[in-house]
Amino acid sequence: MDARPLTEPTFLVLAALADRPRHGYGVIGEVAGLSGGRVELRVGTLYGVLDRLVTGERVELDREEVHSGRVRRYYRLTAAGRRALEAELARQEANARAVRTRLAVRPA
Amino acid sequence: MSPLEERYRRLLTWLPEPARSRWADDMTDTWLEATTADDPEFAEFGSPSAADRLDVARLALRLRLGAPGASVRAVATGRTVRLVALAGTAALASLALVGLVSTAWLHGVLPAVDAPDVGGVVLWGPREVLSTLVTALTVALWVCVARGAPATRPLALAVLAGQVAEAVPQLGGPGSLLPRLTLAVPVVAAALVPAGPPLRRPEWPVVLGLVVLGPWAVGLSALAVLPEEPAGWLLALLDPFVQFGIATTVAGAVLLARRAAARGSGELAVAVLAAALLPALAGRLPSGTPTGYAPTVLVVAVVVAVTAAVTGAVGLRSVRALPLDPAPAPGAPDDGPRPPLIG
Repeated sequence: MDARPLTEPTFLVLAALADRPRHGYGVIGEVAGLSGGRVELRVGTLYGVLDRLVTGERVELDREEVHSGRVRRYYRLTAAGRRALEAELARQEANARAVRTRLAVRPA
Repeated sequence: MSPLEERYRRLLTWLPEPARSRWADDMTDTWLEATTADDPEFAEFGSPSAADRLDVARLALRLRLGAPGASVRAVATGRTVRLVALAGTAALASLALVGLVSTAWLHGVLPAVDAPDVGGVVLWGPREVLSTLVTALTVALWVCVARGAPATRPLALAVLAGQVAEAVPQLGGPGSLLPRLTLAVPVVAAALVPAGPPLRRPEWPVVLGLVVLGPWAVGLSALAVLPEEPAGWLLALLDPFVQFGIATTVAGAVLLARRAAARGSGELAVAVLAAALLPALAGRLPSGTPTGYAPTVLVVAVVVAVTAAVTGAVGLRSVRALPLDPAPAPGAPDDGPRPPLIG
């Protein structure tokens, strides 16, 4: 599997699907919430990310529901998606720990 | 279907198949929910904003250039753009390196080499600074393209902006602007090149080193043995654009000799590079050159034009024959068919 660090939108989309399946608009709202309103995914960006994640078997369709006469799809993380998210989280945490250690040392 | 939905769906026709079939309904539902908030007036009279159009256009471009999820044909198109960027920026880097070395020599900053006597102070104004900066960035761009670095796109845009800034004072002199069209093509390709891993083949530094250094090694060797007044045809053959034209023609011939199943992106890339060389070669044709110079350039230009036409036709036919099925994901567990959406 690809070992490169995840881009921020990809990381946030995976994170938005970590607790439960969500539909597209739900993912956009959750990403905005997770990032404190800093990241507002546009629809094209979201589906570009989702397309990559589905292709990479990190996200899959959970179910379809009819809403206002249109089919709404809910997506969920796969086991591979959860592993990728956890690996990225571990990488970010390791970086944060290393930098905190440096910051704790006051320059002479 | 509301007029607004109809307008957004029309926008989604920019997306290539099979992505359009897979995502259009879902994107429409999400977009309507994100924008209308059940406002009946907006649903009737509203339209996708410029930002929405740009958003869809970016996704369409990425998918058409072989982003993950794109079709086999789109992946081949993306590979063509990548080859144009790679080979084109390698050629630009060879010109740029010589430019940088020449500038350093003129200013006497080359170690162990005296500056030439140019009979006065060498100019170092804003134009020269800009030119040197663009030259240095061009070398960096080639390295980024070869390494598949994320900085490739912003760097390509910076080089392009620098090229435009350099060209503006030359407006009105078409002869001098023609080579700039040639120089811009690989840079535009680098700006569009889809994200991907660096070149894997261990021999690529050797191959690209030959491409970069070969023409200049030939040129310098020829200069060492040239008579005091070399013939015009010989001077023409020492022109880097003429040499690139010959190299492109040879590359096209080698690619066309391959079996039909292997054809496609390589031939198309040669066609684009050959076509891109034509403005620069045309810029070498004005009168006032030594006898034999212009006819030699003209012959090379005709050969390059034929190369562009033949490789373009073969490459297009091969790429169009590729299926519109989704390409397997890079790094996927196997090269089998794409996973179904329903889990």
